[in-house]
Amino acid sequence: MALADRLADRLAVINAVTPSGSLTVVGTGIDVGGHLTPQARVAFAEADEALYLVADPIAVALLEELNPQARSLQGLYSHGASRLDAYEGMVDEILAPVRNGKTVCAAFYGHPGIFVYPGHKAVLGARADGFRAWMLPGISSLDCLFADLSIDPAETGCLVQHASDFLARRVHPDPSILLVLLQISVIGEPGAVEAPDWSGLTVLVEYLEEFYASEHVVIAYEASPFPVLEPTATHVPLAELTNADLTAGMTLVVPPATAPPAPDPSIRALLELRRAERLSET
Amino acid sequence: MGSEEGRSLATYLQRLARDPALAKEFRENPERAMANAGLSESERDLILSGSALALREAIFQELGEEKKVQMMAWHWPIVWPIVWP
Repeated sequence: MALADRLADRLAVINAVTPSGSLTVVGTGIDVGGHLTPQARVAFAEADEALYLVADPIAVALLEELNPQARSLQGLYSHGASRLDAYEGMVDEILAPVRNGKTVCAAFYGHPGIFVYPGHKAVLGARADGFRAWMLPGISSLDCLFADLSIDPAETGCLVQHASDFLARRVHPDPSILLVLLQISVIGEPGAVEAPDWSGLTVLVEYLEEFYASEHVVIAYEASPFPVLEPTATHVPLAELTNADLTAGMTLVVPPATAPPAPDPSIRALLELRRAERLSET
Repeated sequence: MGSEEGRSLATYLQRLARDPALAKEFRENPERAMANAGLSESERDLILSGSALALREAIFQELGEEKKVQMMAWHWPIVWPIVWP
């Protein structure tokens, strides 16, 4: 049998055992016009079922223009109800058409796999059921943060964590590395809310003051969703953070307060020894 | 701000979203870009105020009430849970 025939046979077998539905989960970025990748754009436009969860009406307009059948997942939030229940509902909503043999694309603002519970869950759920599923990366608020604030996380290292988890687990930050805490406007709030609740921020500040001086300058940051706006970056002493003009989507950036530890000469010596051993073996 | 201005702003932002060259034009010379787009003085002031919230509020004027309620429920839909033991 010729190679082409054998490949065709093999493809036929694969197609016979692989269900026809598929899922692509994409990120729209923060500024959907500039951040939506060509691959994500095509996946969304060509999907039988296109679902989205984005944060501004311009993004909605663009996505509905790309795929006129597109529909929002926002209605699954229920005021005061558990957000986790809403996310499980989103996963079900995404997977149902996949199981019906449809080509599905779900778009989330930012990166669909960074602080997006239903993103990975939907992809893994589809794969567990035997469907083909992919995640295409997007530009997250963290990517914008590093660009806008001229910070390279390689300089000191970086701890990124959900503000509530950081506080609840009493994580001990290393003051020599960059600390980034997300979702500071809903600390400790498990439900879907219609407005920020800053009460938890006072508790977070008190906790951070165990590791940082009250006058240590921190940055409350929010990426710009529109190309006509600058990002918001409010520099304020830690103790004054709760009095600052804050917005719902802000991320807290705590720059390093101390110099990093000096490189350990014994580690360098060990690395050189191992390298020499590897070279002598070859 | 009147509804006509809201429509103009939303249209401009949608054009920016579709055409990266317009966003580049704005970055390089905001005043000229906004003048070319025919934005009113109050619309230009709103953009230059730098408030994403105010800008969102203004462009909601183009949208129907149903969509407005849907979008305004939470300006920044959070997609990560907190589960207390």
